[in-house]
Amino acid sequence: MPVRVSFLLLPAFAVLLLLLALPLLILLASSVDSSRQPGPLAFDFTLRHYGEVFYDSYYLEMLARTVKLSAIVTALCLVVGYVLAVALWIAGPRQRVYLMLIVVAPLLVSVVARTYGWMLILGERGLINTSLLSLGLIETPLRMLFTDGAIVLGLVHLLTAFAVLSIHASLEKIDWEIVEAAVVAGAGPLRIFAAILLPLSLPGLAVGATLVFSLAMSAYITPALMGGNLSAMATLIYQKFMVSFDWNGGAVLAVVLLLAALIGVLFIVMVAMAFGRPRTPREGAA
Amino acid sequence: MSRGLFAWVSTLLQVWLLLPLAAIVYASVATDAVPVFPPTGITLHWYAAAYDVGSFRRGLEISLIVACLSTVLAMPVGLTAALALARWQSPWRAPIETALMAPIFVPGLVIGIALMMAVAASGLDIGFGRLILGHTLMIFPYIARTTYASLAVQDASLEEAARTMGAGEFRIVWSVQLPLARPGIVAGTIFAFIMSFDDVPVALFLADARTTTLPLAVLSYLEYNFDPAVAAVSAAQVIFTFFAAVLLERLFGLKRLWGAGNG
Amino acid sequence: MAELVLDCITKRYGGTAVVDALSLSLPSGKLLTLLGPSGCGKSTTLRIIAGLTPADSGRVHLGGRDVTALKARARNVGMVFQSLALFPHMSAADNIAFPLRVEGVSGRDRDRRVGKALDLVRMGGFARRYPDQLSGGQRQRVALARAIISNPGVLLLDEPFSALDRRLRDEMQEELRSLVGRLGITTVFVTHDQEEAIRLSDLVAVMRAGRIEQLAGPRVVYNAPRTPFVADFMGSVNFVEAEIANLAGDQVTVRLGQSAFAVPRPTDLDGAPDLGVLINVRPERVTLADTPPAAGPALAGTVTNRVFDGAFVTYTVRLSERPERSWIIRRLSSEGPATASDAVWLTWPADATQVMVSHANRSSNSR
Ligand SMILES: Nc1ncnc2c1ncn2[C@@H]1O[C@H](COP(=O)(O)OP(=O)(O)O)[C@@H](O)[C@H]1O
Ligand SMILES: [Mg+2]
Repeated sequence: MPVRVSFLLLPAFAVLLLLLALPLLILLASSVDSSRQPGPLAFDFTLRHYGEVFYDSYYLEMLARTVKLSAIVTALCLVVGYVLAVALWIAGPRQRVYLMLIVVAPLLVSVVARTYGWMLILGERGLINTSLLSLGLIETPLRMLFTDGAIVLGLVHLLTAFAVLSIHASLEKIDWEIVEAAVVAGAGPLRIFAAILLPLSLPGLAVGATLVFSLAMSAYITPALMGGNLSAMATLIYQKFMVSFDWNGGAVLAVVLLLAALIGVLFIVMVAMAFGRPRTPREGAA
Repeated sequence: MSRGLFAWVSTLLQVWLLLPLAAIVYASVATDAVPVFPPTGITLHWYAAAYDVGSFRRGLEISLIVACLSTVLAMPVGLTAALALARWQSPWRAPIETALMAPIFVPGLVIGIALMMAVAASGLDIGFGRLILGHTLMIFPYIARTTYASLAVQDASLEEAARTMGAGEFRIVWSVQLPLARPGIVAGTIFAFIMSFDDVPVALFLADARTTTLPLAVLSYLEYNFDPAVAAVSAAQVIFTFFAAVLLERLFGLKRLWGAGNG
Repeated sequence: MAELVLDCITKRYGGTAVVDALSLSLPSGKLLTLLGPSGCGKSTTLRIIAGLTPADSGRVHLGGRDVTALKARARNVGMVFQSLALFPHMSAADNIAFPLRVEGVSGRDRDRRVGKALDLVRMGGFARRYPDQLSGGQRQRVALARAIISNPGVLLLDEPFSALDRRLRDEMQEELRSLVGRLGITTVFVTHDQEEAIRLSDLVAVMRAGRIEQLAGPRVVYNAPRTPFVADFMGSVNFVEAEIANLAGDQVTVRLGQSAFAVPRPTDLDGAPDLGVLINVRPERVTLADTPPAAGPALAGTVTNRVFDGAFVTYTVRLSERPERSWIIRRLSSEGPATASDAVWLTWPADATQVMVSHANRSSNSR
């Protein structure tokens, strides 16, 4: 039986190995291989490409900027996601279906359509500006697109769904009677949130934060379209590969970005564990 | 925060989530070339205009072909993986499940770059195949996940009953398990198709001049134009996706598709 | 003084009245059990008292105050939930301290009261354990301590012991009884287990379909059930139709086949002579005989089964007049075989007869 079962796993593992694991290895190797990419690997270790890329502090600044934007996006997604996850949790069955559709809607349309929608609203000749102008509230159009705020807005809009779904998965495990027990004990909404819901949904918050953070770090189309010249690390990687055809440099930046995302994820997990239930219980009464 | 305030905030956030999608639909039916509020009039002219853009028509064709082919390829991969997971009682099942879901959580940027470099390193010229392979990798976990979820809730005694009636392994799978898992399979397939059809991040690295999908065509159109023809294309997509999403929710439940929290 | 008063409470879910014009009044310091089959509205009633579910109509009074409009958090009730609902991320002590924290009771005072509560439920050594490190019985105690820590006006318990094994359940019942007695807390306890209700309560309210069928002390409910439903729920099996021959003062004369006999008149029985009633006799009060008795109640029947289980012999007897009814009779096995043949007479002391108005004659219980 197990023999046959592993036989069934063969296609999936072949796909994962050939199309994901091996390519990732090649990406990693290209960043430390002396060969010029694209081309066959020379299997000769060098850190030269890293030196070339980080000779200039520009990319490090860009990395710092990307980390900062991703952190802001993550924080906002968690706040927005928490509100919507709670709404989803307390909604009746009918309402929940609509809410779920609304939450995942941004994930279901292509990034181009979604960003175009924001352009229609925020652009120099977008709905907000034309309305404000015609009402005489402003004289020159507000600059909303091509700002850091626009990048954050676009990413939060896209990635909130991941936070909502993760947090909701945690909330769903909380027995409603626990909330009622707190209510009967006299607790108000804020205390219920802080003392009951927040600690119990910490795993969901952590999962949501890691997903949102790593996806925000590697998002490149939304920043490119909504940020204009202001951009993010991932956008630079795209340019390295597809515009300046510097594949070695691109591979270096991609590896650095992946490492930074990994460090961020580890950081989130550590924070979550520090706030989680202490291993040695706190001193109680008695 | 009182219940009333909470309800208000939550409603505002929902409006905000739908705002760009609503703007697209609005711009696609407003007469004005530069959308204003209120609109000068209502028209379907922009849909006709979008149809007249050659690159959109060609892009649609390519997107459909790519989505169909990669879904057809992803189907056997996802189904076999789901069957394996459903039948395997072993401590290895959880880690394998996680590994199978990896393409969902690895960013499109990374999938795109890695695959592009790998194909280049292999020295093979697979042209069109590059994008199809990328999408197959990207979407098969959705089919595996929905099918597995449907199989996992099936009564194990059904399988045993079939076995006692002398049914062979293949027959059990084909005429007992898979038909019962149909809602999951259909949901996974629809979703996989949408994910391929909508994809930009992976396609930007793997497509070439001959495989410019519809979203890519729209993207390059936007570089030089900003007229509501784009709104019409996008609105058509939003509307199509909306109905697909309703169907998915009915069939399977949207939140199980991502299953964040256990993935 | 009545600590808890429910005045004509009604709650509907989708058109069905789950609680139907229910009224009751519970004196201070007493323990009332809501007893009834699953789905009869016990939990809903309890939640309405706590304020977790709003009633559609009717008033709730706690400690002489109308609290109908008050939110649950302001009612100062203690509640033990069916799932216990302990906070899984807090230690036993923190769980118990939670209501005090909410009240704003400060550090030292709080620790002292939590310590006292822990001792009260004999959990002194487990303060720092988390719920998942406690046994079922210990979790019960923590939930109980949390419910009483802030001196609530009423204590509400929703089938708290239903998940425990028999021995532990007996122990917890004993402990709850003594704790509530010592502290003098007015308590409402929900259960579907009649034995539990009888052991624990000062008062038992037998519920059926959202109404109270009988509200009385446990002895009365057991020995003088007011309706066939209550009798049935209290484990009665020996029913037979009879008629009222005469109502005079506090006596009623019951006619059963050839025999007629006087019994004390149930408080709520009034009506015309010839009223159809249902009578019930406890299995241990019936005797078997070969010949009909000279006077008093009697029924002819046929023994269809005998089961010897140590101390007792249990007979099943089919009634000759009403073959669709069988009675169960339990006799001490040391008394020897009760009868020679299968054709027997059933007799019992007239005062062991429970008289109830049968369904057909109760307007308030028309189904
Ligand atoms: N929130 C609710 N919505 C709809 N029906 C409910 C709700 N709560 C309880 N009910 C129904 O009310 C009836 C009584 O429930 P409950 O009070 O829990 O009964 P009990 O505790 O006696 O078993 C049941 O039929 C139950 O299905
Ligand atoms: Mg109940």
